[in-house]
Amino acid sequence: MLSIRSLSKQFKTGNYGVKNLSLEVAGGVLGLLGPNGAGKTTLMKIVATVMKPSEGEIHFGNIDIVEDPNAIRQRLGYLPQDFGTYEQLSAREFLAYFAALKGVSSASKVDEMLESVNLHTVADRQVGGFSGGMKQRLGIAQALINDPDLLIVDEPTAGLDPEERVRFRNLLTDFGRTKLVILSTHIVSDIESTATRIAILKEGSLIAFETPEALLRLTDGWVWEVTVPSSRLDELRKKFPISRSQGRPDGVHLRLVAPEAPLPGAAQTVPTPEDAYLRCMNFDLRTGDRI
Amino acid sequence: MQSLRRIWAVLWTDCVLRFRKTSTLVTFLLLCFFAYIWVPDPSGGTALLVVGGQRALYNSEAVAFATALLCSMFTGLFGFYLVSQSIELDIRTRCGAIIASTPTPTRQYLLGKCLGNMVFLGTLALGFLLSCMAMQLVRGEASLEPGTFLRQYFIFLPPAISFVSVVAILFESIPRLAGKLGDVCYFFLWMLVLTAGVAAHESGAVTASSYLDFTGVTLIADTLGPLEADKGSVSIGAAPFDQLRPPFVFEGIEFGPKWLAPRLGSFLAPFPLLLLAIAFFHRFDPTRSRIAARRHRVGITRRLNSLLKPLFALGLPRLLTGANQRATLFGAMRADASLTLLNNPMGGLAMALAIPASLLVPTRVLLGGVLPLVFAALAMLLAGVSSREHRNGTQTLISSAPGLREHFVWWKLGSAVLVGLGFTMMAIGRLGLTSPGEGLSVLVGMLFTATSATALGILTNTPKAFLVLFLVFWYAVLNSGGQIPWLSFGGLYGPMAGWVQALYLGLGATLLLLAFLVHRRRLL
Repeated sequence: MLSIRSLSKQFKTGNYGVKNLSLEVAGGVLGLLGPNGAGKTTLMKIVATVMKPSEGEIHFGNIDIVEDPNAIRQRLGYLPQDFGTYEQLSAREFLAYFAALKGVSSASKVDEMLESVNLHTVADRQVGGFSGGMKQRLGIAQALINDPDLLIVDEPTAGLDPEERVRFRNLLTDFGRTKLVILSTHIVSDIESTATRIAILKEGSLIAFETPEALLRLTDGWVWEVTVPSSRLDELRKKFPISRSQGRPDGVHLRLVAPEAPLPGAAQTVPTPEDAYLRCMNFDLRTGDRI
Repeated sequence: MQSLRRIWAVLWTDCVLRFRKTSTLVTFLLLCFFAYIWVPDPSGGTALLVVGGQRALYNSEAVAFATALLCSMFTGLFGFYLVSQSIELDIRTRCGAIIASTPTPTRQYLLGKCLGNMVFLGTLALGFLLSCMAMQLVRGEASLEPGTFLRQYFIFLPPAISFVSVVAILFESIPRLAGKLGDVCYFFLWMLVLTAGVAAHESGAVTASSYLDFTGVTLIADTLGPLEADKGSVSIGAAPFDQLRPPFVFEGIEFGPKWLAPRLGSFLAPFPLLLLAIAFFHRFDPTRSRIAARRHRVGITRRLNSLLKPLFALGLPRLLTGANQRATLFGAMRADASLTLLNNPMGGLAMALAIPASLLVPTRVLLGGVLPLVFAALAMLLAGVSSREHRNGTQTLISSAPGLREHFVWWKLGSAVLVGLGFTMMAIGRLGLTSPGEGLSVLVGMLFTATSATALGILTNTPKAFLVLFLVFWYAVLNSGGQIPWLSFGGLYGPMAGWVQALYLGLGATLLLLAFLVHRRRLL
C-alpha cells in the first residue's frame, strides 16, 4: 500500500509543486490527471525518489520512502516524461545497463523484456535509429526489468501509435492486478481504460480522488448536449466548459458540463471520464459553484 | 559483487558511448597526426628533442621520453575537455532520472564514471603511444624497444589521467562548475598545477610537491635540468636544431625506487576528491541542480545580470535587430546576435564598455590593455553561439525558419561577426585612421575569432573545443610579447605581417569550409 501524508514540495521561487497532498492506495492503477503545471510530474519524481519533498511522509508498505529511498529503489520501476536514450547503444545493451544498475543478474531477463515489448527482432540495432514509439517501448522495458512492486510511468503513451497504446494499456492493467502502478497522462481515455483510482490535481493540490465509477456518478446529470448557431459559440465557451464541439449543417453541436440545463432544448446525456474531469476542474465538488 | 557489476556497467557503457562516436575516431586520427609532426624527419632541420641547439638521436629512450611528456601535458589540459561531459549526457537524455531511481549508490555511479574517464584517456594515450612507436620504426635511428616506450609512458601518464578524470567528475558534480565557468576555471587550475610543480621542485630531491606532480614536471626537471645546465635550453616537439652538430644520445628517465612512491602518490592523490564530488552530486534532482545553478549566479554576477537584462532587452539589441524584421538572412543574423547579448548581459556590458574605452584611452593602453580584454570577452561570448541550438534542442525550430537550415553556417558566422564588430568597430575605426595596418590587424583578429568560434562550435556541438583552444592560444599570444611573428595577433603588438594575416584568414576559412561540409553532411 502507498500512503502519502501532507506532502508538499515548495520550490525556492516560493511556488508549490505539490501542496499538502494526502492519499492512500492499496494496489491497481492510480491515474493522475491534471493540466500542465498541476504537480503530476513533481509528485511522481518525489515518489520515484528523484526529488525530495519539503514536507510530508510517503510510505510504501513499511518502507519510509523519504527517509530510506534506497529501500524502495530495489522495488521501483520508473519511466520519466520525455525520456531519451543513449543513441550509440543497442537496445540489448541499453537494457543490460539498466538491469545491472537495478541489480538484476539474470541475463535472460533482458531478452525476455525485449520480447515482451516486441523489440526482440531489433535487439542489436543502435537505439539512435529507433522511432519514437520504439524508444518509448524500450523505456517501458527498462522500467519493468526488475519486476517492480511499484511502477511509476509519466506520460507513457506519448509517441505511441494507437495499436501500441492499446497494447501498453493492457500491459499496465495486467501489471496493476498484482502490483501498484502510478500513471500520469493528459489523455483521459488512457486513464479511463486502465485506472482503478483517479487522482485529479490542480495547482499542486488534490481536488478529487475517486474510482472512475464514482467520478462518473459525481458527474451524473451535469452533461448536456445542445445545438446552437455558431455565432453563440464564443459566449457559451466563456460560460461553460465544453467537452466537444462539432460543426453541423444546422449549427454547432455542443457537449458541455453545467449544473443545470444551459439552454432551452439542451438534453442530458451520459457522462464520460472527460466530462468528469471537466466537472472537477471547473466546479467545486461540494458546492457545485463554478471555480 | 553487485557493487562491482554496477561500477562495471557504468564504466563499460560510458566507454562504449564514447568509442562509438565519430569524434573519437577524429581524435585518434589527430593523435596520429601529432605523432607524425612532433617526430619530424631530422633532415628537414627540426627534431623531437633539442637541447642547446643539439638534437637527440632518435632512439627509443628519447622518442618515448619526449612523446610521453607531450602526451602527459596534452592529456592534462585537453583531456579534461574531452571527458567532462559524461554526467551531462545523462542529464540531457534524462536517463539520469532513471539512474537516480535505481538502487545504484552515488559513490558507485561516480566511481564508474571516473573509471570510464580513465579508460577513455588511457586508450587515447595508448593510441598515441602506438603511433609514436610506429614513428620510431619509420624515422628511428636505433631499434624499437617497446618495453622502453611502455616504461616511459607508465611513469608519466597515470597521474595525469587520474587527475583529469577525477577533477572532471568533481566539476560535473558541482553545478556551478559544470558549464562554461568550469571550463575556464580548469584551464587556470591546470596552469596553476603546472607552474606550482615547477616552482616547488628542488633539483635532485623528492619533496612533498613530487607527490602532487600530476604532469611529471618534477621528473622532467630532474632529468632535463642537468642537461639544460650543461648544454642549454630544451625544446621538445618539432624544434629547430643546429644541423652541423652531431646528435647526442639521450638515456631517458632512470626510473628507480626513488620515483616509485612519488608517482604512485601522484596517481592516488586526486581520488579523495571523489568524496567531495559525492557530497556535492545532485543525483539528478532537478531542484538541487536548479538551486545550485541559482547559487552560481548569486552575488554580484547575478545582480548585474538581472539589472542589465532589461537594459539590453530594450536598448542595444533593438539597434541590432532594427524596427522592421523581415525573413532575410541578415535579419536572422541580427536577431541571433541580439539573443547572444540578451542571454549574456555581462557580455553586453563588456561590449558597451569596450566602445567608449576604444575611443577614449591612449593608443598604447588600447593596444596593450583594452584589446586583450576585448578579444578575451568576445571569445567567451562567441564560444557557445553556434552550438546553442544543439545544446538546447531547438534545431527543429530553427530548421522550420526560412533558409536557416541550409544557411546555418553563414547565419551563425554573420551573427558572430556582428557581435565581434560591436566589440571592435570603434578600435578598428580609430586605429584605421592613424595606422591602417593596425586597424586591419584588429579586423583580421576579430574575423578569425568569429570564424573559429563558429566553425568549432558547429564541428563539435559544444563550446568547449573553441574555449580551450582559444585560452591556450591567448595564453601563448600574451606570453609571446610580440616576439614570435605568427603570434603577433589582432594588432596587439603593432600591425600583423601580411603573411600572418593571410595565415589567420586562411585558417579561419579552412575551419569554416570544414564546418560547412560537416553541416551539409548532417542535413542529408
